[in-house]
Amino acid sequence: MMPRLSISSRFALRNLSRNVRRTLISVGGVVIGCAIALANISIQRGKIDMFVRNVAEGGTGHLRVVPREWSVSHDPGLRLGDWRNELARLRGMPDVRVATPRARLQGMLAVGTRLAGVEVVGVDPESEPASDRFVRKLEAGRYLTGRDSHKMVLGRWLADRLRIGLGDSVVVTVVDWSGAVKSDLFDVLGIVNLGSRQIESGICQVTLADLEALSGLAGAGEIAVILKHPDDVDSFVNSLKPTLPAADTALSWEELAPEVRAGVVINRANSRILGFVFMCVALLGIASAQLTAVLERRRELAVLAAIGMGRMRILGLMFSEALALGTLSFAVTVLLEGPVLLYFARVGFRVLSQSMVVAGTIVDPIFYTDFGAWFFADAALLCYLATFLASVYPAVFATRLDPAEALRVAQ
Amino acid sequence: MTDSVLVSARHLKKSFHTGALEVPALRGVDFELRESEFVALVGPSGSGKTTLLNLIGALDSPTSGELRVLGQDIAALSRERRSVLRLQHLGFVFQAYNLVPVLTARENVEFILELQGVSGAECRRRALEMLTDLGLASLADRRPAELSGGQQQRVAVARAVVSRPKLVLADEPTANLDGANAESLIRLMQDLQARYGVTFLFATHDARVIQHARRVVTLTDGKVSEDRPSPSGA
Repeated sequence: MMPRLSISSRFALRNLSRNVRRTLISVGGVVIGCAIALANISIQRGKIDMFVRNVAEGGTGHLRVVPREWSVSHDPGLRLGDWRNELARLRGMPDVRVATPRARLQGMLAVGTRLAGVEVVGVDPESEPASDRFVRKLEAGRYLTGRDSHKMVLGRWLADRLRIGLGDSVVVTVVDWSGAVKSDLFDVLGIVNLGSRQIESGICQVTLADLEALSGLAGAGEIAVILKHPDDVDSFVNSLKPTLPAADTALSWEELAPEVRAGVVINRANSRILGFVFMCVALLGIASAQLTAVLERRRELAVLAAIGMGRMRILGLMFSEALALGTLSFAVTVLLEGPVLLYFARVGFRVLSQSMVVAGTIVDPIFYTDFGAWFFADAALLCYLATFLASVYPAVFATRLDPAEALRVAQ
Repeated sequence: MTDSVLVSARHLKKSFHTGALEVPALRGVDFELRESEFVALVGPSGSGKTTLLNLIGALDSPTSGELRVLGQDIAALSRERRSVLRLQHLGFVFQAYNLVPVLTARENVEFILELQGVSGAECRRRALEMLTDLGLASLADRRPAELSGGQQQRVAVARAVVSRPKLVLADEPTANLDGANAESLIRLMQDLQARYGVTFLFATHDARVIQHARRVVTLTDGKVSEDRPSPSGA
């Protein structure tokens, strides 16, 4: 059986239908303010998700296991101790979606008189495509396999610069671990097209075995890890670190790509500032409507005070009305805005004609809003907070009414 | 009827300020009200009737003089204590009924009991009992807008007496009613006074009402000019 509402609660609820136009204006104010704030939050969250996803799946990983010294020197000649065991252990962890080993080496590509400086990356062909979305965008040819030797995958911009295509041979010149200059011939097996010169110019992948041969150093210099739940990166890194060999450590994407982290922080700050401004505008509108309601009800409030309704009860009544208004606003916000944000979270909306690189990370041409349980929690928080804050002054004003004076003026 | 004094005013003065101008409303009222009395407060407009009712109802504070209501010095009470005094011991009937428009007749009556902390079921029982006593049971679920003026004022009286206050203050309770309704209302108040021993003090201009009072106190220019038993009342 439904619990019977108190008279005060019924009073507060029915006041919503008393002046429907004003209630609609108040609800409209809350809904518009909250909807803009929520849309802003949703877009920012979607944007941040995209940044993180593109950084993580653009080769960086959500985290990387690296030699401890690498975090200071960034020396590509450093190698992990027992990388095969470490890789197997990471791949066996339930939170890990992909773990892939890599090694890097600075080098130069040459075709005839044409040269390009690159970072040659040695990869595990089986697991790399699952961790690096860029190499999945092959325009021509195919990706590496474990059986390939002296084959490479290049970015389109690099291939154009060297004026080479599929099957062409490229001379790779490097300085090996001993300081000796070494050259070898590689065939172009695949070309990746991302529409971004900056990213394409950095793609030059060979098998890990070929890189070991080129560098003269065995093993992997890093293991990139993609998690199933990206929100858990920090806790995963913190729990992983003590289990790693003393010479190795784990770095989160925020440590690996501080410029992206700065972008995320700035985006969050912008989102909060904009949200605050929208809420302030909405608050003023609602407060004005609520105060008008109090002024119109001077006589009634005076009568309530006269029959013995104390200040706290009047305050309670006003906040009960705010609660009712907040609940109505929350319901309207969820019903009207929820489907829109859900739609754009699924379908997205195009903001660019093609991908762009901003602060070292790729920005997709289609933005997706974020939608999840947070939407309902934030909508409730914003709607109730807005109506509560907007009701503070009118409520205090109501409690300060002098009943005798209010009755005298009203007569 | 006992002789215990509910209200005692000595040299009671009240002034209002309009800008720099001080407007005296009461100029030294001496007045006593005893338990179970049925008193009419009469006088021309501006004589201070409503001001005196507001002071006795602890809605306002005197400028000077002494006013004790149910033994409590009104001037010394805090706003909250005055609110408690009104809630627990006083009832009000207003000229314009002043029922809460979004509540039904029964809810309007229940509301005062809820404010007093009476449990929900008891509130409903007592409110319905009071409305039945006043012949309003069939109108219990109607909102004020669906009631006539006379019916609204009867509900207002039910609201004023449902908590069995010691004293009910009524400011021109019949001013908006026609003759029959005014007569009916005053008889109802008399009946409640007789049944529950509630003391009634009402300000009025209405000669039909005055004739039912047992005592008539006349205010003129902010002072009690006459205090006499009603010739036809008691």
